[in-house]
Amino acid sequence: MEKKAAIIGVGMTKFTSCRRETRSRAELAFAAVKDALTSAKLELKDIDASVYTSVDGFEATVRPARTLEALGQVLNIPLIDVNTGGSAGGSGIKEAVHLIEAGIYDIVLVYGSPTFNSVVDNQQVLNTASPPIFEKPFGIGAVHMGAFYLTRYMRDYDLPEESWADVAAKNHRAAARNPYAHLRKGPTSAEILASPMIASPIRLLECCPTSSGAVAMIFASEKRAKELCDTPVWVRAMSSITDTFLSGFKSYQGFDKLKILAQKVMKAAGIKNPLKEIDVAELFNPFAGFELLEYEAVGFCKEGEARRLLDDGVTDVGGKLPVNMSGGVVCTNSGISASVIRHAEVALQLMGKAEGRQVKSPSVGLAHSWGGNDGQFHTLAVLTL
Amino acid sequence: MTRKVGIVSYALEGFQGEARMSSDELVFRAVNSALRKAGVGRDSIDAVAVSSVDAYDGITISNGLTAPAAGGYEKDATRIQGGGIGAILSAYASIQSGSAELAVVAGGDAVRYDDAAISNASYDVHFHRGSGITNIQSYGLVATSLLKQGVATEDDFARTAAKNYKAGTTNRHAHITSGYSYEDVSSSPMVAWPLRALEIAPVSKGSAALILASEKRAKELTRNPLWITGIAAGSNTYAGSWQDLLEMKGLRKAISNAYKSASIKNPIADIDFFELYTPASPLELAYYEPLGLCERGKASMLLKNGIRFSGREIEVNPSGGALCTNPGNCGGVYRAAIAMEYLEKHDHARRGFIQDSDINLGFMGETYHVMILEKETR
Amino acid sequence: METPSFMSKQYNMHLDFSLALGASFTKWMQALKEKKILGNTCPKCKRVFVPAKPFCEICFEELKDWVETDGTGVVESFTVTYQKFRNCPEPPYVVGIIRIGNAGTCMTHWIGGLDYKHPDEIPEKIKIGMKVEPVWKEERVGDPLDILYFKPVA
Ligand SMILES: [Zn+2]
Repeated sequence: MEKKAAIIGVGMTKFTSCRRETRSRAELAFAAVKDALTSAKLELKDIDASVYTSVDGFEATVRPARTLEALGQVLNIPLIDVNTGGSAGGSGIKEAVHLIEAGIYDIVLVYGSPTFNSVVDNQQVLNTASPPIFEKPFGIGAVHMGAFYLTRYMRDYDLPEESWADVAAKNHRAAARNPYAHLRKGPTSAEILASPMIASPIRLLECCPTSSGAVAMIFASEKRAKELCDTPVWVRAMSSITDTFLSGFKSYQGFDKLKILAQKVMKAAGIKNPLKEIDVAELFNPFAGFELLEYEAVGFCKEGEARRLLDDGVTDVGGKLPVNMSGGVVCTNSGISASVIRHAEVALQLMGKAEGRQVKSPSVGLAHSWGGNDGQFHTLAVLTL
Repeated sequence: MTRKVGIVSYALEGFQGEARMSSDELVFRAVNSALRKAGVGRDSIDAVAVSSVDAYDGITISNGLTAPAAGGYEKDATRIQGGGIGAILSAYASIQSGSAELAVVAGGDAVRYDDAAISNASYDVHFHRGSGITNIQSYGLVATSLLKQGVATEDDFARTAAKNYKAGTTNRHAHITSGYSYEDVSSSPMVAWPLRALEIAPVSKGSAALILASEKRAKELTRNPLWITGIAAGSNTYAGSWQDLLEMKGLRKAISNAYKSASIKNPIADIDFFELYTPASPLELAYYEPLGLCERGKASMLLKNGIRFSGREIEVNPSGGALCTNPGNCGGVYRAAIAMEYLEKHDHARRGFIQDSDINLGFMGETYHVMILEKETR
Repeated sequence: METPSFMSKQYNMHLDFSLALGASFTKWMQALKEKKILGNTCPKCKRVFVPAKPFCEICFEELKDWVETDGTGVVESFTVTYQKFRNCPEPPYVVGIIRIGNAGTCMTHWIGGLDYKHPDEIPEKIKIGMKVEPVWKEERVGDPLDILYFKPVA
């Protein structure tokens, strides 16, 4: 019998624009960790180890974890620093899960840092009064890379540009219902289509903002989870996958590595028909259109059929498999905390605590994170009640 | 039910002061030879853990470059920043959890950088960075406290350095093999009082790789697996009291947890050698007591008389330690590999202790890792 | 005077680095001076790597055999940038994913030499699978930017 790990606590701050942020990184960390501990009915002294996830360069500090004191170092517990780019949240969670399943620790804290907070935006991408969009760190390179995938997909499947706007609008409507989300104005498809083109075929309102806010999660061993929590959320299967570096074998035809990973994780979780068996999902979409390619990669539908799932409302509120009911990364991108949040949001949904955005009694969820140069890393987790 | 995790193979590339290739190429070479030595192909690997810090690679998300070089293509891979034993702990947990049978741990150092400037950029930007503190100054602060507490003298610092340099002359992988004497060290320029230039580690280039395996796979792959019988970590808070820092509470926590899981009651009797991460010579003296090698305040005496048990000498840093070889990314992986080599070469030696930390960035907010590696008991 | 409820301080992380390119990248870059785009091949899977690499990440073999391509390639995907990004060219510019010859890998480079009146027309001027060739700089130093851009083959 393998050991099991569960999520027993989730804490997060409300998200806002990096430019409008007035809280320090210490205050954000303290608020998120405190909130997570409270929700798990624990105190700092109960934590056996902490996992910090961020990307140093964006914080303009080498190993920023060292100076952040909110993670229990005062009690001399191990501080584990995981950095795999944007997917670091997923990688950090996987680390916590392995450490618990290995029987090394009973209670592990995972912290998702607001990676973009220190970044100064002197030269905004766009001269617009709309919410701060796409500043240098995530914008450059990332948008072009995203565009390569979407250009190819449009040409391969004759997808109209309206579909990108429709999936963006679905996320924006969801964010309007999520009290924690950053962009909450809920623009329509028509408004999204009228926003400026950034890098074809991606328009302004199909791009994530740079947000500020933090998230913390508490993971526990089976025994402790059952003692401490009425609704532990079990990590049924989780893994990651690695692509080659920049000059890889990519022809930008769909997310092929995510597809391989999904097959592996679904098999480990005993899921044969993802669309039928999964009730709620958070898929990493810094560009709204990614969500459609991800439906296909994780096996919600066949290649080229994502648009039909969207048009039929399958992945919207009240659908069979609501996706990104948080509003997704496209409405709140706080750097590495965004990849932790995918898991936190699914956990809240399964616990029945997703204020304003709760899906009706889900019991199986899917959380995805994505990062690295050119989207080199993916992580995927099946979470269950 | 406790499963065992073994290390079945290792390989080292280097070490020297300058690299002739990029870090991915260096990592590839080490991992490739470690796999060949183990007699397995890349296909057999389930997980990869890279040890590196972005700043030491000069690029952001540098594991993007090195994870495929470590065999990670289409595999489950991660990157731990904070020392090589941290990456070993990650691979160990992958195997113990049942998610992997065979895992690679690797790191490489190729880029030329200013070690002190990178350390400075790790300190708090509002309160410390401007003061000009770096790793070197932080070692100096600890060394000063050792002097004031009467734990050791400036002479002891130089003797400890000379002891390491002498040991380094017999290590074919070492970066510094010139065997500086006590006189050389004590006449080298003062850098940050009380630290002299030859009491501070250089920055080394090279790479290191290990292959970790589940008990079953380890026994299939080698007749002489080395088992990880204890592995633990502990941290110190960043702006805690100076007293807390000097107490090295994080290190003590890691040591006591590792000793406990390896059933070590008397380290002098139970451990044959220690490979410590001491990038400034005074730190070796500071660690003797937390390791249980001497009583508080007696480090100086231990240095003079040597560490002995039942007539045999227990070696500390037989490789020459960090003063001879100090790669920023793969240091802990290197020390684990060098400990394996020691165990292979010394029939009498049964159990080694390896220590690692991220104090290459300086003290304050540091994390310590320790590991106990031992031969199969027959 | 009113006390502000919060303050911000600006800072930066300026660090200098230097990196050896290694034998494979050096050879590849040097060939650009001679207007040659080289590739190297994996002894096991026979894939051609353009740009060249020191090892095959899949087979985990060193790459020692070299081939010379004719420099032409096909467009696998592309994007037209319409907004100004810091440290990047003035928009509009086209970044393409270009597969040289029968390479297993792709190069990222600019696509130029397109005939258009208004920037909005650019996406329609490029087809996936379109054949392109390099336009070389007069003065070459051994750098990917020795190629000004790739243009459609007439
Ligand atoms: Zn190959």
